[in-house]
Formats: sequence, C-alpha cells, structure tokens
Amino acid sequence: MRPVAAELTEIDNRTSVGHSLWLTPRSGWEEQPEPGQFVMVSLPHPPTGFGQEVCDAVPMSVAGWEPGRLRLTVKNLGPTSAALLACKPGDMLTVTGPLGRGFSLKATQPLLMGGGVGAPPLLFLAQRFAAQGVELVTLLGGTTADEIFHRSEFPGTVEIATDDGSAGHHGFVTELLDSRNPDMLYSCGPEPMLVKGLEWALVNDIRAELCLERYMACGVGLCGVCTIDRQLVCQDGPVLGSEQLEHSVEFGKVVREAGGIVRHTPA
Amino acid sequence: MADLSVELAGLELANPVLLASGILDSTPGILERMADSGAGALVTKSISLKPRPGYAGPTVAEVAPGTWINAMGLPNPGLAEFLDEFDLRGGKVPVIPNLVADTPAEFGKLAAGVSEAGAKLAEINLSCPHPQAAYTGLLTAQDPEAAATAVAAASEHLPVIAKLSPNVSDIGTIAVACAEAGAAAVSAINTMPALDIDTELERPVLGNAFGGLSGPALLPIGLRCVLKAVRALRDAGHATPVIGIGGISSGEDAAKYHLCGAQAVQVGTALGGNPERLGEIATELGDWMERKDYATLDAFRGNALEWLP
Repeated sequence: MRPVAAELTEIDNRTSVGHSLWLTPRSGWEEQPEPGQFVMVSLPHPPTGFGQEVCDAVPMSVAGWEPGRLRLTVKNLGPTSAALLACKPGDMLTVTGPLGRGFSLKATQPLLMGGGVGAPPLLFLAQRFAAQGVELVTLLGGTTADEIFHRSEFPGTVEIATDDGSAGHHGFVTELLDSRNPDMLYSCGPEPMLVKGLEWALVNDIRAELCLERYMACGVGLCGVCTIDRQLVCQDGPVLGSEQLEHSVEFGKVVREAGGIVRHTPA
Repeated sequence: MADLSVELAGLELANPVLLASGILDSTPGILERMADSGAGALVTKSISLKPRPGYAGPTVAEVAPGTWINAMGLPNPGLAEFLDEFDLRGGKVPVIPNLVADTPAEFGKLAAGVSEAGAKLAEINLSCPHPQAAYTGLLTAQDPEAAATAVAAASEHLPVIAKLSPNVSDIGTIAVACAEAGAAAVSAINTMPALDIDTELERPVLGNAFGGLSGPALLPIGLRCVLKAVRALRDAGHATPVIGIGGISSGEDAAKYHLCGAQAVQVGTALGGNPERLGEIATELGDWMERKDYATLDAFRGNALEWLP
C-alpha cells in the first residue's frame, strides 16, 4: 500500500460547509471498495494561499466509487480540509487505500443513521444496499439544514433532524430511533451520537456497526496511535460492531491527538 | 518443547522475540495486545522530553512487497504524559522504554525519569535516520564518541541498550565504543536511510522526503551488521549481548540472527496488518529448534560465526 497520485476531476454536491471531490488515481481503484473503508489523503502541492502545514495525510471515508475513481466528501473542519476544499479540477492529490474494514451489508432491514459529515460513507452503503434491492431507512442529523450532506442522493426513505429545527425534526437525530425495528443499525458521525446509537441498539437487541474516527499517523496498522482499547481503528475498523464496542472503556471517552496525546471527551 | 527463555541485560524473558520500537506501541491498549500475542518483551516508541507531533504525511509507503519506507517523525506525548499513561513496572511482560534525545544531558534526564518510574532497562535511539525534519546531518550512532557519551549519560540511571544504525562504515567500532561506555546491550539495526520518488508528481513520496527502509529487504543487511557487531565485541573482550533487528518475518529469520550470535531479536514491520504475528514468530522459532534438536537458544547461538574467514 502506498500513496498514489490522484487527479481531482470533478466537484459536486456543494453546500455552504463543504462539497464532494471526485478523484482519479493514476493506478488502482478498478475494484469496488467496501462502504466504510477509508483513504489517507494528502496534498503534495498546497493550493494558493495555503502553507506546507496542510500537506499532511488525513483519513477520509470513501463517499462513492465508480471503476477507476472515487468520491470523497469534505467538510471544512481544519486546515487540511480547508485546503482540500480550495482545490480545483486538475489539481493533484495523493490517496493511499482503500484501507480498513467496512460495513457488512448483511442486513435485510437496515437502518442508517448519519450525523454531519458522517453521512458520506452511509451514502455509499445505501447505494450498495439499493443495488441489491434492499429497502432501507436513513436518518440524517446536523446542526442546521445546510449541514445535512447528500440528503437528496440517498435511496429509500430519509428522515431529517436538525439541532436548530431548520429542517425536519427539531432535535437530535438519535431521537428518531424510537419505534424503529431494523435488523441492523449502521451509523457514522459524531461519537456522542454513536454512543447513543449503540445504547439504543443494545437495549433493543439489535446489532450495530459503527464507523469510528480517530487521529491516524500511518493509516495502515503500523503505528497504533488510532487504537481504541486494543483495536486498531485503521485496521480492525474503522467500522466496529456493537460486540466490539459494548465493553469499551475508551469509546465515547478517549481520543488522541498527534503524538498520541490523550484528550478526554466530555461525557 | 524447546526452552525459549533468555536472560537479557538482567531481565528474564520467556522468549527472545521482542516488539521493536515504533510499531504498534502508541497506546497502553495496543501494547497489552502485543504482550498477549506472545512478546518476550515490549520496546516502546521513542520518548523525548517534550512532546513531538510527528511529521506531515504521507508518513509511510510500501516500496516492494512487505518492504516500507517511513518517516513518522518520532511522534510521542513527551516524557511526563508517557509516564502518566504507561506502566513501566511491567505487567505480563517487561516493558523497555525507548528514549530519543538530541544531547547526552537529555538522555540522562530521560533515563532518570523512566528509571524512577520503574523501568529496569531502556533502549536509547541513537540511530533514527530522520531525527529532525529533512535531517541530513550525522546521526549519534555514526560517531563512536557521540554514541559513547550518550550511552554513558543514560547508563548512570539504568542499564541501557544502544540502538545502532546500519548506515556506518564499521558497526563493530560503534558497538565496542558503546560497550566501553557501559552499554548493557546493543541492538542493531535501525531502519536504513532511504528515499522514494513519485514519478507522476515528480517529488518525494513521503511528507518528510527522506525516510527509513524496513521489512524483508533489511534482513540480509541486519544479519551482516549483527554478525560484525558480535565479532567485534567478542574480539575486544566484551560479553555485551546484541539484539538483532531488521526484516524478521518468520521464526527462521529469528533463528538466523541467533546463529549470528544475537541474544534476542526485535520484530516490527512484519506486524503491519498482522499484530498477532509476533507470538507466531516465537512459536516458529521453537518449532525450528525442535526440528534441529536444540533444547535451548544457547545450544546454537553464534554457530554461523565459525564459518567466517
């Protein structure tokens, strides 16, 4: 596995907080990645106005795929994502991947729950389910209407929740879970939302697959900085099952920054 | 059953297959997993006095199957936070902190810190090929006097393993200098300084440009270095043990280092994508010993040395 040069060929799905990039790597990507897998993306040549500090390789979930090209959806969250959003068609990036373990696609009545920029890998998952003829329901949450990514692209039933009530249910997306009876909950988004989703799944005896985010330095299972408990998020994950997380002491509580510095997340 | 136990610089180890520094050792959780996988001991990532965030990515690239270059940039939380989080008194297996510093005085402070926290043995990293971003100067392990000074400073506080570079004209001279400065052991080798170029982008692949080569390609280089270090130490009258590192991905690879006189070995890159491989390598070493009818490591250690001209 190594970084491969990839041309930014198309930008779509523009919102006020981000957009999607279609990348055409110079090699690989003829085979379909699993939804939930990720890539390490870097900017070898920062766009005008950005310094070398934005060149770092960061993990990003695959939002979509066609033979030979992949889609990433970027939200403006930090210097590297801001630089990615400033890239124009024709610019060159590098991608390493696909990496990690994705979602299982085993459900017959899947329920998807995405928060903010957690929606993109779920879109890829939803498209795969739809291609198999599986009916699905997706719950999407965001702080405000503009932060609901890919709303119109999801196949099946979509319900929305926003913190400010600007679209759909006024409140957290997890409040839409009650009364559902899926055979699997698939979720990606902010960790407090994933924690609530796992609690709900355990109480209702439903299996869950949760796509986690952690700081990564190598992305390929060599350094270990992304470890949650004893599991490597880059390799055992980023999608972990409820049975791998229900007894976790770090899930929802501990994340690490560069250098492995521990940051406890608010309860 | 072959007896894999070994004594290393005062530590009694159940087997001679150790986790190498910088691989799957960034958190107490992953270190515990490596202990359970069957490690003889665990060497931590390199710890500096102050936190280091590491270099910008890409930090790793596979340059041939299983062979990688990396420039992680010695990411670590700094000594104080490291000591808060990691238990050096040793749980299931001994934990050997690896220390990195720019000066002998810093090595002394780090050694004092880990010794106070209960470490019985430390490894000092004299040989990271990229200690500072885009570094092209001399490494401590490339200068016998500098290496000896660092070893002496750290050895005031606890026994130390001096980790050496393959990129020297005569590793024997460096190993002897470290032994004479009081090193309890030397380990060889660190990664080989290396570079890869992306032909599409016409620039270095790694964020830091230069990196260190690791994986199977390193095995023959490591064997030569270990054998030369073992012989030089023996010729100079030192019983200092040598730990073999570089390119080990099977029990037979580990046996090769022991045949060159190594007291123990460390495994790193082979664990990428397969953390549980560490214990399997120890098991395979035992299988090899069974097949060769060796009851202990001492029974065959150094056997290849007698064939040298």
